[in-house]
Amino acid sequence: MRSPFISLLSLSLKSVFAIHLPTKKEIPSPKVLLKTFGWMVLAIVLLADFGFMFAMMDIGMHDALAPFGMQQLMLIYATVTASVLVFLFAFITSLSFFSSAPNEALFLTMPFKPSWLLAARMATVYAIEAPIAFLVMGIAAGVYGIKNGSSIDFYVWMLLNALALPLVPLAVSYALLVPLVSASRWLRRKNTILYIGGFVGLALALGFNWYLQTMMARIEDPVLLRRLLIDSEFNVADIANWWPPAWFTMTAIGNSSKLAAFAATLANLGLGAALAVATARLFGRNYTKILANFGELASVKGKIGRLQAQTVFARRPVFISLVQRELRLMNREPMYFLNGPFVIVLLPVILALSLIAQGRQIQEALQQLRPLLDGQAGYLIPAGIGIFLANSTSIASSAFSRDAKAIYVLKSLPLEPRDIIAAKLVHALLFAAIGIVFGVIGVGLLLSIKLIDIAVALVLAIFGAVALTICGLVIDTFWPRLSWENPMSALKRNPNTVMVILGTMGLLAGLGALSASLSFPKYGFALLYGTVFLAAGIGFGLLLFRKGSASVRHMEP
Amino acid sequence: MIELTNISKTYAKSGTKAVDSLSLRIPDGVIFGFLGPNGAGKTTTIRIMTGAIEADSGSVLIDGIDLAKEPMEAKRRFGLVPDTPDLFSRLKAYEYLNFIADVYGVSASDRVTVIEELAARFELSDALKSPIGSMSRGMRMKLNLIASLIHKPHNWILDEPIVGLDPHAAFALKELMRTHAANGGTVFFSTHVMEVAERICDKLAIINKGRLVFTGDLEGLRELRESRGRLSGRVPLAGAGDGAAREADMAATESTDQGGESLEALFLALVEDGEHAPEEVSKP
Repeated sequence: MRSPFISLLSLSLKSVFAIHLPTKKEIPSPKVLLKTFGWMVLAIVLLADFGFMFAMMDIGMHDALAPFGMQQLMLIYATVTASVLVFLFAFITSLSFFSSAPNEALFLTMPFKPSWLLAARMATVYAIEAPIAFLVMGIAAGVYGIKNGSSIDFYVWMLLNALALPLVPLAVSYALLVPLVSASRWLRRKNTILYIGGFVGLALALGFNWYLQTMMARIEDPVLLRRLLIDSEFNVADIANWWPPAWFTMTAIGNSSKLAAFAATLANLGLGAALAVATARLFGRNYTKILANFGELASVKGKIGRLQAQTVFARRPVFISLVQRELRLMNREPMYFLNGPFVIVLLPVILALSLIAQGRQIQEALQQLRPLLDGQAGYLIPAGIGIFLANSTSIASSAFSRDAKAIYVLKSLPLEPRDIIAAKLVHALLFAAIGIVFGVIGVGLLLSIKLIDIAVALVLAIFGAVALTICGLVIDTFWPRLSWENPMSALKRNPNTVMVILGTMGLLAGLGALSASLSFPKYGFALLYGTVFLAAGIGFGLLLFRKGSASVRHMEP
Repeated sequence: MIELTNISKTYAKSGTKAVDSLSLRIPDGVIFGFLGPNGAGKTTTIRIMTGAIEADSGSVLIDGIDLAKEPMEAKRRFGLVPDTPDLFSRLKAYEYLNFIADVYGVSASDRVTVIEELAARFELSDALKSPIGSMSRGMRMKLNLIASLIHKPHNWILDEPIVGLDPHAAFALKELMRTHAANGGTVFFSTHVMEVAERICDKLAIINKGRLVFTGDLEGLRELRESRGRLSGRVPLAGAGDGAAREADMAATESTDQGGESLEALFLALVEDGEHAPEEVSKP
């Protein structure tokens, strides 16, 4: 029999890492095979993507520092990077997990010690942090070890210390957050946590993007690199000296004595574990109070007066009411809003950050691109970005999936399925229009594109975005994902949205390659692609409105 | 009036036959209870009769209108209280009511009147500005009850409406059901709460494993039990092997002492019998 704590821990981990591996019975199904293969490819691509970025940075840094005999600085840099990354991720993940407090509150009725509940949650956060530290430190160890012929001990100390790095940030995050959330009623609301978590997460992603862009620029310049690592007032080497986990790590890998390295590693793991245990014990009771007093949504007291009722309950056309329902249900769910409509704002911000971070290089590149921008690229690039932004919200490709069991209610009402479909399409097109404006006009102005080209790009983007939006809605009307518990399953974990976003990227890349290889008059491409998009839009539209109603009638969550 | 004729439904995903050749006639002016154990097919039947899912075969007539042929007209003639009141949790209560009123084309003044009256009756007036997600299950159920009546439907269909309601609201609901039926309307509701069914139903149907095992009134059910017991040579409710039958036995013993079998005892026994003799039986 397992101890209650181990069972609790196992349940907490399973609830986060709920990976369903196909059973023997399921494997022969082509759909299951394709899905499993798709997920595997996605995991490998993601891992390879981040691995490649860090590897290139480590190699660049090592090669820049090696002529001065200072290549060990890259290990300090990797240790500090891993420490900062796990700290930020630990903080944001710990904060986000408070949103599942209503579900966790059930554990309060079971014979668990308060410290166990917090420890199980902390262990789950650790399970997310550790692979990040392991990846950053592992790649740095690989680059440094191979280039300098390091012994096996070096790898062992690097990786063992990588496991220790997330422990102190984890303890500090909960030691800060538990009293904070406990003291603030405002923070004990699911919506608040989701919005703060979402925005902080986005800021983190933007910061990480900024960091990568600036580092790439610095690695090319040894003077800048040296200033970052040791010469400036607030440098990486100093951080490694005053942050104990980083100091222990550097002591372990920089010491020739095995005993000293072992002692430093043990001290690193011991310090982290001791702080984590102390946090769980000290703040366990407060944590359970948070679970007990966590509100999902704030209720609003107060009657609707007679006069107010005439306005509030004014009659509207059914279609307007349907569109309004779509808008409210999407934009009031933080998970949907931040990963849907907000992307239209987020992507231009990321682009702007890249431009600012690599300002000089971008300016030089733009100078070289100027003759190209005077040709068809002048309208094809803004149109492409507009089309991509318009389809990045996933509103159309998750339209029915988001409704899930609410489909039963909708279908029992006297509503024509075509009206439900049309309302979903209008909702998606409203945001597509904003995406087109941001993408085409924003990029057009940024690249100083001629007005005529911006106008052509606008028309092309409208045709392309409408066709792809209808295509996304067709996919989600015929193959909706209607069974789920977590709303994220309908959006971020929905194969339909992944397919549409990756498909749009693939299509735009393909059209880009085609445009580079064909020799047409400047606006010939606009005519060709515009005609294709128009025909596709009409085709998808006919399919959607002729066959979509039958599909809605057959939908069974 | 609602008529179901030979309805069958098998879920494609699981291959489960949820409803098997079910026929029901729910006349006007009655409260009709639809009873059955978990997974018996009650919710599936309600979803079919409200057009939320399509039957594999059979027909549904709402006030004589074929749901498959004229879905819009048929749907306007009933109000539904679904079994999952937690949908649309991001909408505010009044926004949801407004949406439903728009769908049914209810005028502004009519919707204000109905909402004011029903919100007062269910003590929900103070919560109309709240997001549905912030409400308790009982409050959400009350909201769905108001929404289902906003267009004053002739037929009122309720899926497990008593679950989560406080005693005051449950009483108000029962009163509303009685008034609706007394005014010539149809009330069709599913429930697990036998006591409620026993007290307010004029007629009832029992479904088990997708098949109708009884339809009629309480007296008819008692007669059926007795005749089955005589036919099978078994003493009614005695000698049953499993827990359900033992519970039924105990309940029957208690209620017989008071002068007759309770609905719960009859229900359990009939469901138990249904395992052996699933043929449909109808009693007027």
